[in-house]
Amino acid sequence: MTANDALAVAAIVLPLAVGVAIGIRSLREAALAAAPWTALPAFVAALDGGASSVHADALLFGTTIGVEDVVTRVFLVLTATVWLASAAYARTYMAWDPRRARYWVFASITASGNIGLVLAQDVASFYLFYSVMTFGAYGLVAHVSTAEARRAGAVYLKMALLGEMLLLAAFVILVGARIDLPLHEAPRAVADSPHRDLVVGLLLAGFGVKAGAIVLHVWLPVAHPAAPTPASAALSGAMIAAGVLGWLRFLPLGIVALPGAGRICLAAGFAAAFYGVAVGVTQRDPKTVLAYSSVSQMGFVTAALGVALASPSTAPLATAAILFYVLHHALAKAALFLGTGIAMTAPTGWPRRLALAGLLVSALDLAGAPLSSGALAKISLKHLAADRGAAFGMLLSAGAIGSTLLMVRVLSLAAARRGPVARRPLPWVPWLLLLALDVALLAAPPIDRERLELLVDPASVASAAWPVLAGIAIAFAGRRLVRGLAIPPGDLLVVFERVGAWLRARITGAVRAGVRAEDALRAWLARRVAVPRRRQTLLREASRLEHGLSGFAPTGVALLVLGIVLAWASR
Amino acid sequence: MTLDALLPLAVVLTSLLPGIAIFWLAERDTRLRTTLNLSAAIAKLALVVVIGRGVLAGEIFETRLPFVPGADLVLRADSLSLLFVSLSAVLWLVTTVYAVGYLEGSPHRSRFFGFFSISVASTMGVALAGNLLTFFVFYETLTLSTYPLVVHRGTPEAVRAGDLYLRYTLSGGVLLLTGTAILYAAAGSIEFTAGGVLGELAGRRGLLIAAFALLIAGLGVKAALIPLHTWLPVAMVAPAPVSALLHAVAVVKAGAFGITRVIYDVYGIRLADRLGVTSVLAVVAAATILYGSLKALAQDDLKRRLAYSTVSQVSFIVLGVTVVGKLLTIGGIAHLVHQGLMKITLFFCAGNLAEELGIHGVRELRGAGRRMPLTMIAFTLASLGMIGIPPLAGFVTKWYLGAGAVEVGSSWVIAVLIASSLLNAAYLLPIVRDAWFGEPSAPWPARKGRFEVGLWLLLPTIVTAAASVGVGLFAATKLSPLAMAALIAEREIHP
Repeated sequence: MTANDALAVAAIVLPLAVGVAIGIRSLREAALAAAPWTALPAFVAALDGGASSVHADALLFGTTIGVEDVVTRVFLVLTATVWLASAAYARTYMAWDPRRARYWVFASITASGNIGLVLAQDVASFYLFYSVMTFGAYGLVAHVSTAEARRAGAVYLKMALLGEMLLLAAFVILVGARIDLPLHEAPRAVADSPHRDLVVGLLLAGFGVKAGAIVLHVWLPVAHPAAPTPASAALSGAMIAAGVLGWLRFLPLGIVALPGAGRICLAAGFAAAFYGVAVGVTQRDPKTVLAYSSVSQMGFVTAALGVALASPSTAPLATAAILFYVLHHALAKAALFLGTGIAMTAPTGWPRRLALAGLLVSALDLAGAPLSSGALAKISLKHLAADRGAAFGMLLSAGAIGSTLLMVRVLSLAAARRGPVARRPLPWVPWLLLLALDVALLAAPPIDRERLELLVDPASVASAAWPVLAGIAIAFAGRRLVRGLAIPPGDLLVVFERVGAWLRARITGAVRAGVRAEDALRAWLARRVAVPRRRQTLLREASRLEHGLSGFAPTGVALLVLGIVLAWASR
Repeated sequence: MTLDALLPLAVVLTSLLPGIAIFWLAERDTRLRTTLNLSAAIAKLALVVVIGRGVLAGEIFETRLPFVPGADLVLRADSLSLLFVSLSAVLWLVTTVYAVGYLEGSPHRSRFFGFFSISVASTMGVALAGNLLTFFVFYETLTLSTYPLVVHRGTPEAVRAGDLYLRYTLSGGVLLLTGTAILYAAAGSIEFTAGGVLGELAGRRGLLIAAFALLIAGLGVKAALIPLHTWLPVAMVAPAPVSALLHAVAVVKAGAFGITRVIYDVYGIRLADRLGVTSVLAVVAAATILYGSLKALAQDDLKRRLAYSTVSQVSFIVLGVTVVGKLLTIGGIAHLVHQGLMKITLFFCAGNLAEELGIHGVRELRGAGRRMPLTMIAFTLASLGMIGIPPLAGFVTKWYLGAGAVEVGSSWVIAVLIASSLLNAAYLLPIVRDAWFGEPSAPWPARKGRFEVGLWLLLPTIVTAAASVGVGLFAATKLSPLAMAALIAEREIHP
């Protein structure tokens, strides 16, 4: 085992071990002190750049983890960075929480799962870590014991289970006779599967739940804001990306052309991009607006995925664009969540101005303002669409206007906040470091380096600038418009909950009917085969018979004698 | 007769003889009784290890005793019986520890442990039976020896439950006997043989189908297939360790194990498939899986909810062994062990909660996680396992059943798996959520001792919970239930 291998193992095991150790009374204090730093091995492994591969024959069906390709590396960078920033932030933010031990247990387990699913190199382990993350995150969503958090937890769990089951179905169909299918063979296996369309559909929907694909996104604007701020950052930054990673790992990109699935992704992606904006601008809580922004941003990624699904030749380009986009989004969104948390509670005066300024930086970045990593991400996407006509490019620009609208909304909500001022130290350092890292990302992007010069190209500066300016203008022009509007967070969720309640009533009714039928059956059986009552009758009959027979006793004796005589005679 | 040939008999006797001896012990001889119980359980475990080494190396141990003309009493250890024997031996030891703690200070303990040991002896007999008649004999002793355990508390409710239990299981026994008799009349002694022994009767379709229906109906009572399942939830009045044993190894499993034997070793899966009987059984199993889960959803009593969950889970075994396909076989047989470990954990937890906090209803668990963290961790792990979340035991089963179904083109099985997982989640996760994230309505009673619950109750719970994680997490190791199931499938079913 090389040092890199050990690092990869530690990246998964350390958070898990610390999470468990918090549960042990004698280790709790030490473990709580270590908890904010458990993503460090993953972070080092991500920056170090060395390849690793560890195989454990005994685990599950034979487990392999490691860093082998650029996809793993990029996701490791973003996952480790976001979790590290979130945990360092939580170290201050959660310090006064009476239930902080429980928070750290779930945060550590979730981080372990999230890092593990990035490093996993076979289908079963991927699913293992994915589930660990999914169920661990419930503890984060439901952490605050308010009615909203409880509802958010319930909604989260239902949607998460739905996703898990869709994926389970996809995976078992996929592995078929090859229980220990390695991940790098998964796209090929999907392409060759006799149930290819079904599997692709299950994968798109299953991972779509995590990635906030339209209609499946309903849990996201409810759950992300319900969690404590550092957890929101991790959920919206790293966990949402896990869904995209799933798509990249499994879908047969570059192997077969799936025009149907491609069209669906394109349509769903752009629908999400604009729907997220439309609903997001009506929200009153900046964290909810940010969650809708995530839905919208992932819409662009979904659209890019659609391009790659439809034409295999664009797959490498699309994958690179998606990777950079997701990386940029993770860091910017995490910084926005963390920044909002500070801006909402920062005291007046210069700390507040600094908080808002920092928020402005990441907001501009996310909107794709010129010279930002957001602009670079959008350039990569546009480049992908170069040969797909003007429509794609126009939609992307329109999307950038939408992103700007949402960012203006976040900033104005955060700035207008006149809430109680926190008298506690605020986690400035992790937030500012993350902000710096997000900016530094531009200096040395792990991919798409060759497009860097495009960023300073006057044409792209202009094309990045106008949607932002237009967005700001529209936001100011239309700010009265949204004032009266209020769409409940989770939008379609309300419909889902109605349908769910209706279904539950039907199922309960059916079960009740079953219970009644069963009771009736049992009662009928008891009447028919009523042993005690029958027994009485039987015994009565038997004794009457016996009584009657006893009257024939002499005859009986005579018969017996006759029998004996006859038997003797016949010898 | 060599020493090796006596080993299977010894496995049965190690619990039969102590069981009989315990009846003569005075009620107050707690220490002697416990020593006897535990040393017998450990001795049996040692015997099982010896047999296991042999069987894994390819040996077969057989005790053959003359019984009735034309049929011997045969105890034989092959790989399938080894799996069931190991499960029973391990869980017997664990449950004995639990029962000692659970019944501490309560009356009639000698009677309880006496019958407890005899029912374990019967389970061993069921596991090791080498022909259908031997199987039947032990199957019936199992019924009779578990009855006193069900009615142990002696309350009117317990007696009623016992009546129902006897009525169902004895009627099942009659059906099983009739089926057995028909086959013996037609084919002579029915020795369990890999691939089946009824090949020459293949022409007599009607007879074979009738006998199959009788056998499965007889076994289905214990395996709680619908509509023969209604005794199981009622029998929940038994003390927790009894429920645990009934649901995890002894009674319910005996039924499922019997079905496995009938399909694989009496009829042979190919013959059964040609007769068309397996598809009917598969449909019944699928219906049971879904119906049991739905019923579990409607229960407010924790143990009753778990009981219906058993109805549902055991049918995974039946489903796995009835649909033809190697991976399905492996999944089904592995679930014999997996379900046992997870369910016994859940019942231990239910027992702990009832003992320590007086909790019986599923809505009373709010905040129980803080008062009894280890118990609730065990409960959480077992629940997640039941749903099929990796890396727990239930996941391995579902992975194999699902992949196996795809392999043979029976994709409808996947729909059943998914639906049941969702239902499992619906009736188990709210309990888990309340325990960790709810607030208790009143403060919990203070701890009675050093631990959250007596050590005799806590340790078995931890051990079985750890095992249900271990068998999943280390499924690829040589001695995991999965590996054993694969070996069985390789050797005896799909050579």
